[in-house]
Amino acid sequence: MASECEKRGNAINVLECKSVSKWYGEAAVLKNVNFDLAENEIHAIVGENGAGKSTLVKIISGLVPVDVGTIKFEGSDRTFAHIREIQNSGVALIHQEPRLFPDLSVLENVCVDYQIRDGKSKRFNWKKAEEETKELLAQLGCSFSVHSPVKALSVADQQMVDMVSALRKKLKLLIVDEPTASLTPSEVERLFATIHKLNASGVSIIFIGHRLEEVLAISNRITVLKDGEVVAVKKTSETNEDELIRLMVGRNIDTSANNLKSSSNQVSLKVSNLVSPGFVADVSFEVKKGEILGIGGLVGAGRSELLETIFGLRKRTSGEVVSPSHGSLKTVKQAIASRVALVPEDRAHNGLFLNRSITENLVITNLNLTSKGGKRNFAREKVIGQELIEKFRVKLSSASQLVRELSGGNQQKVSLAKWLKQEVEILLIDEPSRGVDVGSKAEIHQFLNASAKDGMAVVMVSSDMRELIELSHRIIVMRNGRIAGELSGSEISEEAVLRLASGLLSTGRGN
Amino acid sequence: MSSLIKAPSRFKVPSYLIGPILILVIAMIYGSLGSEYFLQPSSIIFNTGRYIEIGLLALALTFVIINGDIDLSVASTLAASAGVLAKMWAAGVPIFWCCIAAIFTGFILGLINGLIVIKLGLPSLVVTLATLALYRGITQVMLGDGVVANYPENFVGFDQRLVIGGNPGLPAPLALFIAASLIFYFILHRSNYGIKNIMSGSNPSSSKFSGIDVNSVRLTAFALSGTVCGLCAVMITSRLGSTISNVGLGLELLAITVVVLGGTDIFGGRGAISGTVVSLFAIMAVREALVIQDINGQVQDAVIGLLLILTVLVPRIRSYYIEKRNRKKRFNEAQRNA
Repeated sequence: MASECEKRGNAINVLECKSVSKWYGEAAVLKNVNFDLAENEIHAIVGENGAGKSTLVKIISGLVPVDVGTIKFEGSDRTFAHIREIQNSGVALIHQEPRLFPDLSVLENVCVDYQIRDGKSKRFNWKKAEEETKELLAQLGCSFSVHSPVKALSVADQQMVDMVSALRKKLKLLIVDEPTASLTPSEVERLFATIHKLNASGVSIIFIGHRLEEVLAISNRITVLKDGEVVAVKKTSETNEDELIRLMVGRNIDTSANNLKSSSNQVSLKVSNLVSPGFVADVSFEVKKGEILGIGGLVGAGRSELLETIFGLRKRTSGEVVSPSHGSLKTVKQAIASRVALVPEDRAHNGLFLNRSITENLVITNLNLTSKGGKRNFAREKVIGQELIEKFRVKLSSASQLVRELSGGNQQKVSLAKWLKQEVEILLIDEPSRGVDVGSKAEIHQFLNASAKDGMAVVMVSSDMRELIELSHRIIVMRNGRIAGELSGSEISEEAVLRLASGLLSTGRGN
Repeated sequence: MSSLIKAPSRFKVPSYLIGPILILVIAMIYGSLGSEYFLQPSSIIFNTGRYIEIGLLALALTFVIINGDIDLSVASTLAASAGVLAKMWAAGVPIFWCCIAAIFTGFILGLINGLIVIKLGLPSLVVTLATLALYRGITQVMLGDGVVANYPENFVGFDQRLVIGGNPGLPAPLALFIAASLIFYFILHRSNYGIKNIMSGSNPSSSKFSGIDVNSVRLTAFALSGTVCGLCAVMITSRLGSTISNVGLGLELLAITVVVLGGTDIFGGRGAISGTVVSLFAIMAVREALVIQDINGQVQDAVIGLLLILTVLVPRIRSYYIEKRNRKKRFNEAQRNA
């Protein structure tokens, strides 16, 4: 593949990875990967979940040791360098989920490793550090206080904190791993402006992304990984979204969903004046049978909390959730008995049992089917597990494998599948494709469309604008815990959703 | 690559059992070197009595620990239950009702632990550390420095009775332990409560999102633990024939040791009854072997402590070396292909 990397004028390569391989346990995550980065280049890496993108950048930044292969940074061999050595030579990695100390302040987080490096003088100059940090934050357009604890910040602001710690050193290579997954459009814009600014000042950048339109907008060159191997290295100007998807997946995917409008008038779920203090304020809506209702809005608008309140997981101070066929729903038990299912956004913490087997994860919601009088029946559990695995085409080596070992897309399938052995009338699904590869994403979309056609009511929260617009029959947009407006039919557009979400318009009419 | 993937064998000893089984075998060999009577059924049976109480506590604790909680108060709960039994007997209540009252006391004290942990949202480590002192203190207030004895003859000496007569025979405590193990095995591994218990220990939040009532699962485990403590109070009173306020002092640490040695994850979400059972017999064999070899009590404690660390450590070292070997293999393979 090295031959595909054409010479870029006089530019020298900042980074060169030669035949890098890496195994986790029995599984090869990277196979003979060659990757190089020219000076002042923005090089994007794309690929499905489990393609090895994150592992590759973890190896480059020294977090994970390489098994086979060599890594050269600015001409010198860094294959087995210590992470600190790599950091000090100007490499920084910004994670998708910033890895910070949640209880420490912004300033303390920024200074953590700085303090260690400043060992020669006994006292640490907090005043100077504060000034520097404030200045850097101002440059990045951040308005939060340096003294606020990091856990009080949004994910986007946390990434900025990460960025500031990187900027305090002489930065030569910045690696951003799926930075936009949980950001709102304006935050993405701010992040991209920062990346461009850094790039203009001579920093080379490796950008990992799932959203191809972003990747195409920001990069100079794109490397496509598939199952741990480099399948193509393309100049951004010479490729397009369709080609990238084809390369990533190895087959054609129909990304355009069929936006069939629901024909039924039968109400499946009626939410009236629901209040959950601090998160959900006076929300009312109805979902009809066979309808996909999208919920748009910015991160922190109370969308996930709304779903959790409907499902009975959060305390509500007033309001009602009624399923016409089952009556009023107050507790999780009632919700599940009324055939409501919730697929949460954070599957690792709320949806799955990572350290338990796939079968156990799938049967835990189906114990009423598999057991008799409280006694488990392993044979039946196996059958039901296998059925769901096949139905959702979960890629695995054995059903007794731990869920932890699956890729993001397959984990999401398990998180969804565990509800679907039994009839689900109302599916509440939160960010159905967050951290999910293109192939699984298409499969999940197809599933949602097909289920709606069969009469399931779907309430879907999504920050992926394209997903929201393509799948939803109707969209309500939330802002600060309230419904800011409702869009249906021809009113639905990216711009309309954004306007409502950011409070530029109070209703959906008028565009 | 394919050579690295071994075909699964039909029967495989779970990795958490390897350590305890090894300890058991070594201790039995070591013990029988000290005395030819060590492995005699009658001598084993004679010695089981006092370990069975620890074993029962460990079985109940397995539930609490898999659930992600801990109950440090088991020995104190046992003492308080024994105290109630003694007080009621001294007041002239028939012994049968005294026993029922002791078991009920255990149940209530366990429930109190659970309710404080769940309703007030405090960590069980702190709560049961507090009730460890509290329940023991209540026992001391109840019994003072006195001794309650003179239990009826048909009540005392339960541990010396045989369920199946003859030689070797099956002594009552061992029979009870076997029955309890089977029941607890069934509950943990074959019932819906069991899988809910394991899953809520593995990830409480996902459990709530899956419709498991995590709090009631936890409360049940605490109540179960307390009830077993009450039962053990009856057993220990019958075995000793008398009650004093420091009855069962320190048993909680032994019971927790048995659970952890048996492969139950101290942070919850993983564990098995079989581990706890085998590990109990391993510890019993080690102690008795050291006694036979005439090694004093303090050294016995030290040995048990060392064994605990080794048992937890060895599987990790093993997987480290397996991983290293595989890595080397692949490296060579890659070198050859290059």
